Amino acid sequence: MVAFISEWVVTIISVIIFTTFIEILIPNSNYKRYIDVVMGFLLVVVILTPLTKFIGGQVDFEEGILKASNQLELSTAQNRMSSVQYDNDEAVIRLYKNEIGKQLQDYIEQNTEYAVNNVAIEIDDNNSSPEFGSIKNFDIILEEKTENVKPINKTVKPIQINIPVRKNNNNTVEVGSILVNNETDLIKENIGNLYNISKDNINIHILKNN
Amino acid sequence: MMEIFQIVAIGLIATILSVLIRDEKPEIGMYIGLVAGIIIFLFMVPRIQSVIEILGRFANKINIDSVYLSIVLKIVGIAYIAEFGAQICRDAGEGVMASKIEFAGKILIMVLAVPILVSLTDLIINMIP
Repeated sequence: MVAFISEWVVTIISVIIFTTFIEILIPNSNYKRYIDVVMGFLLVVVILTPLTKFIGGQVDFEEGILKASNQLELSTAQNRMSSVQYDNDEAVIRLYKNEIGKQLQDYIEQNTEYAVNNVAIEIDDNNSSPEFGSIKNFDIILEEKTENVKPINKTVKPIQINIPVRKNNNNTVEVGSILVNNETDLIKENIGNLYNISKDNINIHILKNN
Repeated sequence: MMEIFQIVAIGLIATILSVLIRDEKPEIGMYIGLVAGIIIFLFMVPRIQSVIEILGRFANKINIDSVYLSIVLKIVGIAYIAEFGAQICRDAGEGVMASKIEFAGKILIMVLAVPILVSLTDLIINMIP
């Protein structure tokens, strides 16, 4: 209990220091008010998050933010489709896919040991369907993060060892060790929860750099 | 830290040039201001990058989710860029255009803040039995 409280206090103090530092970065303009409001929200979140352990069960705040911003992107894409501003539906879908891809890349890179090489997204692009914008399939190519070396080494071609071994409906790629498979399973499960799609519709391939 | 001399020098040269030219060709004065602004901005990019990197490490250490950090930094970035554009428009005498840019900046900041607001509301609803 004491450890929990001390950790909590340290986090709150650090966040306040962090917020003060960010305040220096803010330009002197009328945006200051808006940024202050967001910083206030964040402070409230940091203070409240540990309390959820005791009341109402643990809440994954990061997942909540990702889900909400995903929803926002979807409704933006739908609004763009129906407006005259974008007469080219393909451009809207491409924009939407780009945003989802970026979101997914950030999520994977922050939560796993892998860097994202490529993400291919298949969505329901029939704009008259009620399911428009729902994600059907993810095809993700990951690569191992290398310390102090740029992710893609131009002189040495990465060796792709991930010849897909398809077993029934499961497209998990076997990369030589059970650990890696478990990890990709975990990534699949997290992504599946985040975007509400089945694990079977997520393919993860891993490139090995050495 | 010696960049400050270079930056002040660029600023002063740009100001002198634009004052000299203002009477004959005021539009060129605006271009000079724009180019000087971009040069100063490019000078500061590596510095701000390193500050952001260190902030990221700091945030990792104190267990702040990287989502928060990225949202805050995106908002600060939008504020800076919108301010930069609006200022240039205002210098060129286009106050209306400047306020349009500011409007777009505010909307984009709001779009980034909405997911936090939604999750915060969820959190509070979850906490109340």
